[in-house]
Amino acid sequence: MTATAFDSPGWQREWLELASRGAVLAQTLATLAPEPAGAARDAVWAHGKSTLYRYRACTESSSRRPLLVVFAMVNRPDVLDLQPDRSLIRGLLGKGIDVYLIDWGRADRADRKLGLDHYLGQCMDGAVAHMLAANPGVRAVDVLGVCQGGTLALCYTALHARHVANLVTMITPVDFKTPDNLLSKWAQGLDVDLIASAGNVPGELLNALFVALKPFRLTQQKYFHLLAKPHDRAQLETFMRLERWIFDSPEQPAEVFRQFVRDLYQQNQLMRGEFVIGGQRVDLRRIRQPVLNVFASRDHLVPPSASRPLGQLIASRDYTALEIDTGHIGIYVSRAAQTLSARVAAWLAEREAARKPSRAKRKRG
Amino acid sequence: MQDGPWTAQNWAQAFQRLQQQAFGGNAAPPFDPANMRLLLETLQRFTCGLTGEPPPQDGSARLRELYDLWIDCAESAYAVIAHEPAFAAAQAATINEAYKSQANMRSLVERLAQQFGLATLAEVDALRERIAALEAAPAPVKARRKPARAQRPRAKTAARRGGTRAGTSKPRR
Repeated sequence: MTATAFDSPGWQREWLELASRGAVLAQTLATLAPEPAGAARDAVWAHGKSTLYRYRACTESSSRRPLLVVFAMVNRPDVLDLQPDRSLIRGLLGKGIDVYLIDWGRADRADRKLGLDHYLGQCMDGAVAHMLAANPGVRAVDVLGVCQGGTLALCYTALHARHVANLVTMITPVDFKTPDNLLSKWAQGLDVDLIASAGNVPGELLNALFVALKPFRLTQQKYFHLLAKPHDRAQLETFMRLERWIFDSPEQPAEVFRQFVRDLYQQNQLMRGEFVIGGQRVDLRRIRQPVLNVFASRDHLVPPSASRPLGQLIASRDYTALEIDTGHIGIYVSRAAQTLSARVAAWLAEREAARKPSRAKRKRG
Repeated sequence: MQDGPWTAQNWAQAFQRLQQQAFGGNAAPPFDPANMRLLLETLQRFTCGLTGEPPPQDGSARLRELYDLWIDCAESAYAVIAHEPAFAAAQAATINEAYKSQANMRSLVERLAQQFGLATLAEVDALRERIAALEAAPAPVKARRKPARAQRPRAKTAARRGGTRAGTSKPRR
């Protein structure tokens, strides 16, 4: 390779064009101020730092049964409703579903000893109790768990089976020790007790680990690609919202971190039926509800191999696996993923319709 | 490809020079062995990626294509290394050592704080735990502390589980 090869007029033009695109991009970014664009919602119940939100309906309700969305604790749930055209929540509302979301809040040092028994047994169970009280005649809610929230939703369903009618899990790890799970490989050598003894685990540390899974794409390429359309304010605003969400990681309560990393990543207890929360063993075979398991084929955080085994672990006779060709974040915001809410809504509607005749039959009997 | 710096032959020569720099002669390699291995494997993939490709057309797409190919090669080379047990052990050891160092620092600061009569983190934590225990105390204890509360109308299911209706009480922040 010789330096003179770069001196040809074609390459000089190309470098100049790139530089001018960079200047335009800097100018556009400097004038951007993307506001939060979430759908209207009301806080209807709270416990500790957790808050239950109910989204305001934007269309006539098609189902009496409310849906509780459970997101991960390692990130904020805002990505589920990033902006009007990239929103799982709005998609579900548009299909007439009564959507609730449990927001775990931002843990601080006072919460470092709170474990999953607090978050599931008190916060989530309290939220479900509120939803049932607010919807007379409804005996069980639908639950949609996302990422780590999907694992929490699975545990909750196994422990409180009668409160859940239908379960949807999205990009949810179940088998934490598959050969292609890089995060799991790195987690095996962590001294979990030492880390947890220092208090909550900073979100920055977790984010650094997540970025280190694909360092070249996540620290260079995605920014370089902004040069492709430096004038496109709408696209840049979406990008900025997503960046803000990615780097807004709350602390993980130390005890939750200990349970998740030691019991699940290191010992794979959920797969082996040995995971214990609040003295109760989480037996996934107690899940007999219809289950829709959605995973992303190019997910680098929760590879499909971590989600697929769910079907063999539960006792449900109505299990559907849905693989989407996207990545871990793409499943929330990619254009292709925007049809996901319609598929989830249709799946729930089919189960509801199947339930009605059997109920009517029982009444007649 | 006929012109420009991106011929496979040119890359192969550059790759050979880097290999010589890294492993031949007495000069110290510019990177640590893991990074050097990553660079070399990326270059190797990049060279293979260029071979047999049609020449990129004019316009800025050319640079982007090459850049994307470089990133693809870097990620695939990194993935091989990152999955190796030695790399995983090094990642975990880095975090463990950082926490050990933090624990040592904390113990030092606590000793200093005690000497100056300042509250230590351990003491503040103990106070927090007492407050949390009081908040979680059974209803009769709370009722004794605040008799007026006992006369309030009985709350519904959600409140019995320890929750509050939003609007009447904000979540703790």
